[in-house]
Amino acid sequence: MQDSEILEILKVAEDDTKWFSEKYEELQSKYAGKVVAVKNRNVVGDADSVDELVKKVQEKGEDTAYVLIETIPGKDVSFIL
Amino acid sequence: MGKRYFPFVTYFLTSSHINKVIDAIVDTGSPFTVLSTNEILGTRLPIHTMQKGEMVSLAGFRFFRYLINNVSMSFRTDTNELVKVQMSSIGALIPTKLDKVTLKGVMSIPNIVGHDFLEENKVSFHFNPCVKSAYLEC
Repeated sequence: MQDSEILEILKVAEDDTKWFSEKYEELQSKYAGKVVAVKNRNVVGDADSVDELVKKVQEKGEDTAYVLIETIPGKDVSFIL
Repeated sequence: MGKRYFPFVTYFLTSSHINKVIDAIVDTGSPFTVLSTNEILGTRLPIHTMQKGEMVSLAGFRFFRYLINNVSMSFRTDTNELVKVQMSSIGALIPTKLDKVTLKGVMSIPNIVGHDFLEENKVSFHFNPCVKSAYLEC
């Protein structure tokens, strides 16, 4: 893969990460307890498990290598590593 | 309602088995750089052919740390340049128990950039939550 392609993928992913963090509370209201796939500032799929999510995302023609996969804990759960 | 306070970093991972964009938390308390169980389940990584590393405990769960050898991690700088760093190996966290309850429980555990990455590549990590600033510096 060319460096320019990787740069473009990273640029999109970084923007998606920023968007995900900014919209976290809103997304948590909608997708609590789910796994979501994010691309181009959109949730392109959500599911209860990664297996299910990967199938959904692939059915939409997206390559899972280039989407962010994020888990959104339940509303009553704060995550401490 | 939760917030996402952690310092995350985005990189592109390349190895013989995986090419993937990764969103990871920088955790200086972790000795290892690892991919989460979720991330592994989202790939076709042939875990059964990989070297099983030591057992690790994280967030109340126990994992085998499988080793993904010879990886390249690409980062985008603030001037839109690509910086590639090599790691002899990173880990793939696979729970010692693979039942539904465990898999549900480990879902929220993120990918981690640990201090092995910082040390091996002589990278420093700057984090100032007061101004929401976090970055890596070579």
